[in-house]
Amino acid sequence: MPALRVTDLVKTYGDKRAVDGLSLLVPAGSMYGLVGPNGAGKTTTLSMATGLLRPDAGTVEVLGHDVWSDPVAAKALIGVLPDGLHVFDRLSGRELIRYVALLRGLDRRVADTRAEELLSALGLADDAELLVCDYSAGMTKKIGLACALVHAPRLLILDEPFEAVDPVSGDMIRQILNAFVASGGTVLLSSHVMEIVEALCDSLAIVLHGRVLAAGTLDDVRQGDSLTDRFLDVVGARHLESESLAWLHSS
Amino acid sequence: MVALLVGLRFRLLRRSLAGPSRHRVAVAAVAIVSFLFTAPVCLVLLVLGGTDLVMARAMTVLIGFSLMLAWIWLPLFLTGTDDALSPGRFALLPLSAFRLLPGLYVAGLIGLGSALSILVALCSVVGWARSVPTFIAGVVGALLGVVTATLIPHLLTTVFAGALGSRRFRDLTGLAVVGFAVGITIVMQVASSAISHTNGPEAVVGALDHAATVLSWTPFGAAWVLPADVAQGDMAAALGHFALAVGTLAALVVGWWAALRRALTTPLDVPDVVGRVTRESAIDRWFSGSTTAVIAGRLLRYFRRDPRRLLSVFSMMLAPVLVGVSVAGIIAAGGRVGGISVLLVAPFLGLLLGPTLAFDISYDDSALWTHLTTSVKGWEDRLGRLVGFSTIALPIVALVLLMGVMSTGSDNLLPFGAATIAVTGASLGVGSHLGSIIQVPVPPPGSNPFGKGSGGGPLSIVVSLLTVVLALLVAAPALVAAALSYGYRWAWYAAVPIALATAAATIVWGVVMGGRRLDRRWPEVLREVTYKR
Repeated sequence: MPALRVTDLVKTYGDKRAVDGLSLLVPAGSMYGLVGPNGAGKTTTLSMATGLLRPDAGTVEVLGHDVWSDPVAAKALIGVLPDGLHVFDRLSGRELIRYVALLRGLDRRVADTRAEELLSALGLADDAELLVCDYSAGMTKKIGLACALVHAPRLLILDEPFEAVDPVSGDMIRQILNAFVASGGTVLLSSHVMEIVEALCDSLAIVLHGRVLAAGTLDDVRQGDSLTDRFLDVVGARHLESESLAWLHSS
Repeated sequence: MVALLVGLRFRLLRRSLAGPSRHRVAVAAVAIVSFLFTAPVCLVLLVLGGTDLVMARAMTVLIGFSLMLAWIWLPLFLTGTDDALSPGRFALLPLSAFRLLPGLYVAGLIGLGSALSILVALCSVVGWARSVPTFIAGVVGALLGVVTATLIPHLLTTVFAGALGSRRFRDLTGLAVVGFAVGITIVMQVASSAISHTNGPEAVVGALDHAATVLSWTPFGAAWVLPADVAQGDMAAALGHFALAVGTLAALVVGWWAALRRALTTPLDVPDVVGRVTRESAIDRWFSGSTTAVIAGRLLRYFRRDPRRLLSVFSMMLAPVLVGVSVAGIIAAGGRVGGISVLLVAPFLGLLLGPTLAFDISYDDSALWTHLTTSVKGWEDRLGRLVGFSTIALPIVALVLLMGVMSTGSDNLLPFGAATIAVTGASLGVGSHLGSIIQVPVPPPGSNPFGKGSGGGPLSIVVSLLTVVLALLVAAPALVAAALSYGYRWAWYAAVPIALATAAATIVWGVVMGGRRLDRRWPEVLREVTYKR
């Protein structure tokens, strides 16, 4: 059974089709990358897959549970890190992890232990008493990841987990995700940095205009090229005309 | 620059009117109601032309002074200036405060409050057109008055925006609210004692005349008395008042300019620095048993740490201060405290809890996604917020009730206790339900709590009124029983049970129905509360 099965997903805003009949199959135990240029519909797709945005049509199944007809069971299996949404940032880092853990139904003692372990694993132990609104962008990403992990999900859905994260923290996150997949978990992450996806993921899908242009294992998709070249090839790269923006050339 | 900012303001206005139709209905309703309040004032000013000079002078000064007061407290408690034109937004542009000032001022004039103020000022000009000199003095006075009045909110919001980045914000807000409460109470005391010590209509005119003379020598009254000075031929007074009015205006402009200069060099969203929190507090121990308790505990923390929610706590604390000051004033004046007014504060405060509870979900902004992804049930969200909010609000209501009862006599405990219970419960229940149906736009997290975001002001007023009216309807039987309990034995026994039943039933209704509503449309609510840039 796939960890995530997305079938013919559609979302329309006014007359713009943000997601246009998108289907996706994320095998259990894989590290799956969702790549595409800005505005391709990655965030919209992930929002619908996690139950934050109601799709106009299509279905989403997490390990056999439909996200929209059986939401409680499906949501218990996934850990989510959205991009561009606030967190309860007037809580301290420790309070935020505990809050999410307790809402997930964990026992208070378990919540406390896991919060401490996550804080130290992500290098946030020294800032655990600081309010999240005083965190840097990278620290906010890390605390978001901690909240997504705290109930030991089977599937992690991460929207741009490496954005604004410094190299040291990025490596830390990579190690955590690799260990998570090695122990049988599944990760679906979106990114527009090809190098990250190429180094980390075993499978991926390229999305453009709300549709999947190419999908499969890393080697299937890149067909011998580097992923960046293959990506630019698939989505259609544009070259800057030589005479445009001439006024920028000061010398 | 002026044309650019005015154009921007018009576009924002048009966009907010092009939004959901309930915004337009709310704007229209607020416009009609405020016009209905202004029309009689205008009428009085117009009719004054034919009445005697003393009365005309007194009414013009009183109305003008009230207009200034309205510009101080309306932005604080009702609808703030649109944060799209808040000074911090211009911090990145190479613009000096001096160049921005006129544009911001003129753009700020586009709005209902300014339109009505100008209308009032025009009426006073027409009313004072008795002769050419009084007409000229009237024009000068009205111009000074309106410009001063409309400058006040700019100064206030810019000063508060500057203070937002610091701990001082909290102290400043508290100080402003308490100062306002004390000021209003003193004015009320003076006014009521002046009226109670006089008898006959002539004495009333005398008291009004006296009040007008006092107010005319304050910064907010000076401009309005100018035509009366000229009509009375008192040129020395006219000159003095003119100097005072111009000085006030100049002080406001300079103050705003200085605050604007600071706001332009202070980064936008500086988080309100709270520093480190304790590792484990009583909230962790007491509010961790269930989802409801956890949400209530989070709210308790937010009422201390979120400036926007802190503001509503401060407004609630206004009530005990108000009662305390007025009781102290009455005792100091040697009078016996017997008035119903101090007793009414408790049920009134209870009645106002519902709207605050209804707005609470909007303050979470997009962070509400956490409740979706953790499968929080609708009723748990509703009840958690209600419990958290009540933990702070109910002790204040009880304190106000006890203060009122202790200063007026224990006979009042049962009737007013019953009324307070019924009204508070009804308001909380109705607020719980309404909050799940309509999500009012509020300022986003970390922003100036006095700005309401585009178009949120009118809708929040309408939701507040709706909550209050519905709560009063629901509580009506209990209120009748409470009133009758002074004369009828059966009502004495029935009032409290009816009140308790009303409160319990409304709260259960609000939590259950509001919860079901949320369960059906969580994703839509999330989109509704997410701040639109």
